[in-house]
Parts: sequence; C-alpha cells; structure tokens
Amino acid sequence: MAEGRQKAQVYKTVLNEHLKKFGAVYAFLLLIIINAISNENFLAINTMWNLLIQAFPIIITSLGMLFVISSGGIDVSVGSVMAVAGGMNAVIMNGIYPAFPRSIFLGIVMALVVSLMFGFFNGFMISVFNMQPIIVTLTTYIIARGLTQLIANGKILSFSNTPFNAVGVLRLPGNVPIQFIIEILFVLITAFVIKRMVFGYQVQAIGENPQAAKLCGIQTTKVQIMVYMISSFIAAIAGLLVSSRTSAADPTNLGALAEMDAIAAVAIGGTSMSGGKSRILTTVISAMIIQLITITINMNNIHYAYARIMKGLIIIIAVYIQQDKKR
Amino acid sequence: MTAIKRFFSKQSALAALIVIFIISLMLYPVSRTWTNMYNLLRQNSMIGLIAVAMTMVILTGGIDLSVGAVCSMITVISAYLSITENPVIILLLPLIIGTLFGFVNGFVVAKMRVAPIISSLGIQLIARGISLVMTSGETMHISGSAKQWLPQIAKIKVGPLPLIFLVFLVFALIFIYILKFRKFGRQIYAVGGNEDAAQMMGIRVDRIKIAVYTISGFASALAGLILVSRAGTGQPVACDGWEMDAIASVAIGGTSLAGGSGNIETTIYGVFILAIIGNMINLQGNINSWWQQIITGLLLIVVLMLQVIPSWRKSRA
Repeated sequence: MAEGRQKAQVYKTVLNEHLKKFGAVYAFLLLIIINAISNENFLAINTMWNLLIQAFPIIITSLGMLFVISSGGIDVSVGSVMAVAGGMNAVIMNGIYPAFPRSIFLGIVMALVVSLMFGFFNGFMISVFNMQPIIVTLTTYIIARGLTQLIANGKILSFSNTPFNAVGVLRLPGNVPIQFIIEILFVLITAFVIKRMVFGYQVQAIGENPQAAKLCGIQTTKVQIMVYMISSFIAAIAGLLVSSRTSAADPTNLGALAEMDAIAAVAIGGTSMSGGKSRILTTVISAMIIQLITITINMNNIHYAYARIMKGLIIIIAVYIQQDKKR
Repeated sequence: MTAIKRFFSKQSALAALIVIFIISLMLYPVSRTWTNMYNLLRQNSMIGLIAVAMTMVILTGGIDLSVGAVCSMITVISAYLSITENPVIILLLPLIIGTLFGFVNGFVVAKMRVAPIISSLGIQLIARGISLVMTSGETMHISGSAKQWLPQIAKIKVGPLPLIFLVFLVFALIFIYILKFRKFGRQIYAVGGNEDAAQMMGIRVDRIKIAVYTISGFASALAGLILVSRAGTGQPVACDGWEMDAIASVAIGGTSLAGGSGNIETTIYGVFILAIIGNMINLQGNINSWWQQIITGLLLIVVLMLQVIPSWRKSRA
C-alpha cells in the first residue's frame, strides 16, 4: 500500500516537472489543435507564415527581454524604443529635418544609434548607480515615447515607394517571409550566446546572485550595460521592421504595450522573474502562444477583447504552474 | 543657511514642489488664479488616490500595473449599472468589484507566489478586456436618472475645495496615519525591508500583501467612480498608463522601488510636481505638449540621481 502511494508520488513529481518544463509546448499544441478543428483553413502554410509575421515583434523582443530578465532586471522601455527607432528612421527618410539628408541608410543608422543610446543609459544607470531597473527603464519609456512624438510632431509618419517599404513585405523564394528568417537568425544567435558563450553564463550568474558574480570576477557593470543594449537593439530592429511592413511609423501606437507582451512571453516561458536560467525555446513558443490567442479569437469571430482576458488568465496560470511550490 | 540646506536634503521632494510652484506663479499670471488651482486639485485627485495606494504596494516590495485598467473598468461598470436607477448599486457595487480585483491580485501574489509584475499585468489585461467586452470599445452613456445626479457629485464644493479633492485628502491622511502610527503600517515597512525577517518575527506576510493590493484595488475603484462622475460616461480606454504616472510619482517622492523605505506624503508632492509641470506646459501654450513627457522623464532622472549619489559616493570611498 505504502509502496503504491510512494510510486504515485514519484509519478506526480515527474509529471509536475515535465509540465513545468514543457507546459508551454503543450499549450501551443492545444491551441493549434483547437484552431485546426474549428477552422479548416488554419493548417494552410500561409496561415503559418502569417502567424510568424504577426508574432515577429513579440518573438524577437522577448529574446532581448530574456537576456534582461535572466540578469535579474526588467526593461519596460522596449515599446517606446521600437517607436523611437521607427520614428527616427521615418523622419530622416521623409526629409523632415533639413539637417539630415534624405537617406534610408542614414535613417536606419540613426535609429539604431538612438536606440542603443537609450539601452546604454538604462544599463549604465542600473549597473553603476545601483538603481532599480523598473524605474530607470520607466524613465526611458517616458522619454523615448515623448521624443518620438516630438520629432514626428504627434502625426503618423507614412512613407511610400521607397526601397525600405519593400523590406517588411519581402518574400524569399518559396513564399518565405523575411520575418521568419530574422526570427530564426535571432533565436540561433540567442541560443548560441546563452548556451555557448561566456557572456551568456555571466548574464545568468548575475541573475542568480549579483554579489557572488562580482566576487567571481565577472565585470557586472559591463555585462549589465551590454544586456540592456541588446534589448534596445532588438527593439529597434522590431520597430524598423514593423514600420516597414505597415509603411508608417505611428508615434502613439507603434510598439505600444510591446514590453508587456515580451515580459509575458518570458514569464510564460518559465524564466524566473528574479533572474537566473534563461529558457529560449519555451520563450519563443510562448511568444507565439500570445499571438495565437489573438488569432484564435479573431478566426472564430469572438469579440477581440476576449483575447485580452484570455491572455491575462493564461499569464497568471502559466506562471503559477511553473512556480516552485516549496517555501 | 544650514537650516535651508537641511530642509532641502531632508525634504527634497517638498522643496522641489515649492520651487516649481513658485516658478509657475512667477511665470504665468493664470496660475495665480484660484480657478487654475481648483482645477489642478480636482484633476489630480484621481491619480493621487492611486499613487497613495501604489506607495503602500511598493513599500512591501511589490508593484501594481493593474490600477489604470481597473479604474477604467469601474467607470464602465458604474455606467452600465446606472440602468438600475439605484444610487447604492451604482456607487457601491463598482467599489466592491474594484476592491475584489485588488484582492485577487494580492491573493495571486501572496498565496500563489506569482511575481507582482506578472500578476498585476494579468489582472490589467483581464480588467481592460472586460471593459472592452462590455462596451465594444465605445464610450458607454449613463442612462436613467443617474444622468442627472451622477455628474453633479464631481461638481460639489465643500467650502472652497472640490469634494473629490477632499475624498483624496481624507484617504491620504488615513493611510499616512496608519503607516506612521499603526501596527499594520509598521508591518508594511517590515515586509518590504526584509520579507524573511518579517515572517520570522511572526508577521503574517501574506495578509499584509493581500491587504495592500486590496487597498490598491479600492483606490482604483474610487478613482474610477470620480472619473465616471466627472466625465459623465463609462470610458473603456481611459486611464491608460496611469500606473506608470503613479509609479513615477512614487519614485519622485523618494520611495525606494525595492520596498521598505519611503512614505505617502512625498508621493503626494510627487503627484503635484508632475501636475504643476503639466499645467505650466499647458499655460505656455506655444510649446509642444510632447515636451511634457520628456521633462517628466528628465525630472525623474534628476530626482533619482539626487537619491542615489550619496550612497554611490559612500560605496566608492
């Protein structure tokens, strides 16, 4: 009798551990199956490309956020940095400021430079002055959004007939969207950096225990600044690609709430909010889950606002399941 | 001179508020009028309520991102319930629902041990979703007799002051008193200072946490009721980003985002510092209103720098 109970206990623990690790994968499969049953067109290849295009900003910004959260921080400025990158590129491309020549190349470079400056600022304030990440990145969130509104004068900056427009809607041979290639590239680079490079281990060590990491000789200041710059850089790429696809940079709505989606993806993916081990694959899957919820709701003609309620519930439940139950 | 110096270093938020207030009085004749000040007090009572509650959440080491969404949901629910023609239901039920949302948030944080930022983000999405479902994204009009009396509440004056400001003031004073002199207040600091130590001292950490989030939900609901009364409609997309404004006010007031130190008075100074800056930019008229965000952000940096530089110097010496 006792033996049987013990066995059941073991099975339960194994099952729990398994669910903790692969819960996101099952949720993803479940959503796919629900969609496949309710909508016969869902399993077409084009639907998948669409999913990957729409989930693009969430997927790549969640990878940047993964670095930040693994290092024990948080970055709420991601959405605003997306906006500032998109806006900066658009004003230069449209030649709104005579000081800058109309050039796509210069636009992209300036967008990246400004975003990296915001990332550097975040990392610098957090690592050198020991400030709370949330309040520093909140400052950047406010300033970057304000700056975007200012340079765009509050208007939507649209552009057409430039080579830049073509980038976001580019399809490679076989109808493969460019977003897919970038996603794969970023996932591989992130996986390589986190699993194979010293830097990746340093990031996770800082997240586990900053004091210990410092005592081990890790240059925590340098690593933290790098982490926030990576996050801003990825946000800038996301902002540029989104504005290219929509042929416009909307200073108010571009990237709005993107940071929350990214944080949610990392959390559902099972990375602890207090830092430590980064989980790449589940983060990417979670990012797709977040987009898939919206798609599911849309395809089944349910009111779009239910997607938010679903997202909210899933975030809380998913993070709760992956919690360590012992105190 | 030393007295002034000490005042500035000890009460930097109050000093900043006074300086900014004097600057606005000097630069803009309109700001000297009572109407302008009256509006300032009235407009900022809602964010003030939320920021006071947010201070307590942050003091325990948490954060509440759900406040804006809950506030907006309450305006919708209140407008929806106006069909009942019953003032008690129109005013009381939304208050209970908002408090309940705060309670659930606290429960998820304290009992289910989900990180506050995640839990309150979830609640935010749910609350915003509910208000959008109820209204399909459009403003919801008040029906029945409430159309007459509900907007009147926001216009009531008590002496020279607007009633809604007094609501905020009483709310703030109660919690200033509780934080300073009651056991519950001291326990909030203890939980934020060192949770494990607080637990070992026999403080029911879970209950304290649930309590502060519940208070935050209540404050958001109260702010929502004020808003529905002021606007006269249920607004599913209102209060967007109020959580960030409230957190910024708390930080400008000098409360540590890590929890354990800070207080409500300085948060209120923070609220009005941001309010007066916004007011000045409005009165200036010819500068782009987007500057408001940039100035707010820069001010935040300055205040944060002033707070950390002493300890930074110490750590280098």
